[in-house]
Amino acid sequence: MSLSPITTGHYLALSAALLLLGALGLLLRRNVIVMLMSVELILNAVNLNLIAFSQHWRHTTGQIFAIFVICVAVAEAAIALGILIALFRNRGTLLSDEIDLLKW
Amino acid sequence: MVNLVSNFWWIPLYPLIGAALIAFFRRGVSFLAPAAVSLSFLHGLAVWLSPRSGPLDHTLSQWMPGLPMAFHADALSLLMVLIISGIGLLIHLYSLSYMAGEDGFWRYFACLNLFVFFMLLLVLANNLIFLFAGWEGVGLASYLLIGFHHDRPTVNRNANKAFLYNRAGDAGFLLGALILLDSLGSVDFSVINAAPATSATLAAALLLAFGATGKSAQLPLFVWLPDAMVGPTPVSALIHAATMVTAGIYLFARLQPFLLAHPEAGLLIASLGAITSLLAATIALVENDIKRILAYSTVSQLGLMFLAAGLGAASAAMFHVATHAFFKALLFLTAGNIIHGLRGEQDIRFMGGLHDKMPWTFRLMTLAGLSLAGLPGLAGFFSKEAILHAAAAHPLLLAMALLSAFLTALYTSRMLWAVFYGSYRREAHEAHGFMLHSLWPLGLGSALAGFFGPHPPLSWPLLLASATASLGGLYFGRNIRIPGLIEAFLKRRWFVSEAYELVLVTGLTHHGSRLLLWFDLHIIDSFNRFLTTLASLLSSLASLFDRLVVDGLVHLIAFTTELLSYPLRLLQSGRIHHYALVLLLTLALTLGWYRLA
Repeated sequence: MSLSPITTGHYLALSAALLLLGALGLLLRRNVIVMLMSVELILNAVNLNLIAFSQHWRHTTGQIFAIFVICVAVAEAAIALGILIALFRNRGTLLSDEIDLLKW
Repeated sequence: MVNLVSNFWWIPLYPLIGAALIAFFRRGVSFLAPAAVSLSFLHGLAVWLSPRSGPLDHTLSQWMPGLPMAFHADALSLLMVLIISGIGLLIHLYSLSYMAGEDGFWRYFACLNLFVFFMLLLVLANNLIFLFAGWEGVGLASYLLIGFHHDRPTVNRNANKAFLYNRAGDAGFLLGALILLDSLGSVDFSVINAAPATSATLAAALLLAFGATGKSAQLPLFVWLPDAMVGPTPVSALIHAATMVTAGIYLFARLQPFLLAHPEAGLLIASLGAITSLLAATIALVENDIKRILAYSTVSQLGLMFLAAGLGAASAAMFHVATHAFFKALLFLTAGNIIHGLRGEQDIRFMGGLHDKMPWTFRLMTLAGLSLAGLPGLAGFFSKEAILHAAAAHPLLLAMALLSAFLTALYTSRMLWAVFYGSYRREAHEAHGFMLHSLWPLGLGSALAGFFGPHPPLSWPLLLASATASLGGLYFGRNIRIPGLIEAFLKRRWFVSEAYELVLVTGLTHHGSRLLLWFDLHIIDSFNRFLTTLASLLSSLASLFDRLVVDGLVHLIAFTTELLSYPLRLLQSGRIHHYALVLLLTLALTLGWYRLA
């Protein structure tokens, strides 16, 4: 059997799978660092979508946008990790169950 | 040509202008004082001599609504004007010599002129309130002149005493005048004299009489006059013998119909006068200070005038005012000569044998003394006779007046003998210049003024009694010996001052202040406490309202909001998973909505 060529639909399916994984990880895991990693998964699913459509339509805007998203994600990760270090120093934990300061 | 008669209201203004000029220029213009008074005298004389159809009236201006500054001149006013300005002129001239070299020469003459102004205002006023302005003014001028030697001990005290006793009387006067103003609607003399007698006017009459006792030094307010003798002797002669103290008599004469309508008040005045007359005469009997003898004599003579004025014989009283002005001014001025000649000695025990050292003073003083004692033929005899005649209907008052006349002769004789006879004790010299020559007109008046008065119908018993009292007094006065006990008692002046001390100072002031303290502590303060309690009660009520109603409303709103918002709070769990779930679900639902739509 020959392998059918990889179409845009496949990319989209992979992207949807990544998004699902990320969303589930975000909702189900309690460790804030892991949750951050899940967010990265979601962002990468988006990037994959952007690139897939860029190739599909032969248009480079999607790729530029993907690079842009990666840059923003890096910055976000740096800030988030800084916040988490400060949080850990103060609270001694990174379990999101115990971090409920946003409550009234 | 200025019409002197219709411009009679200028008479008081000359001395006022004189006083102002002297007070302004101070040095070298004191001669203006006698000049101003002589202008008043000449003007008064011109009005007196010119034919008049009736009383003169002149309204200067409206002072207050219903109270004009109005002048009124009739025979009574003009007689007083002539006495005041005539005797005042002689005393001004006398003072030029007597006060020469004193510090404050100009001040003396300015005050003296001011006094003459106020006195003339008093006798020329047409209503009680305007008269009161002069009445107060003479009190002020008298105070200033009594206190002339303000650097000497006791002078200020005595000046204050005179002023305060006058004030007490003035308060009565003012109350009386205001009652009349209230009940009659006017204080014009014509209105008052025509008023029917009511209880209000009776009260006013009594209050006015009280005011007159202050100014004319009668019981109960006579004690200031002897103490006023610390002033310069001419002042005593002018103010405290001849003019100011007769203001009360003038008032009664002016209001004679009013007094006749209130015989009770008149009888009270007459009794007061008789008692004062006796009291003062007995004190004069034991005094040793020559000026105080004359002062008590003045009080005594004023008492006789009160007696006559109270009984409705104002003409007799005014007659005695006129003759008394002559001989008492002469007595004071000759006493001034003696004091001057003896360099300030006033005690008759240290005088004696002066009759050939000071021959003219001796003759003049003896003439005045005999006139005072009522020697038949001299001025005092006639006027005293008129007063005795007025008292004839009241045997008790008549007896008191006769006794007073006897005592008058007694102390006059005692004084004259002590001063002029006996052994020499001091070096002395006769007065000269104005101090002697201004006395001649007074001597003439003391001798002859009696022939021009209103003579009562001849009554031989009275005439004999009066002459006997006079001659007897003069005879026994030479070697009078008073038992020591009585003398000691009289020397304390019937304890009148002490009685005032006891009643007013200790009684009223001391106990009065304690009473006021009690009143303050218990009545005023308890009222305050009541108010405080009331205020705190009200404010606690207000606070209760605030806490229950206002705060309650606010709390109710707050509580309601909190209650209603409680379910919303539950949305905010603080768990990041909940938020993420909501986020994703919302996203999914929105996308699904698009897909379906």
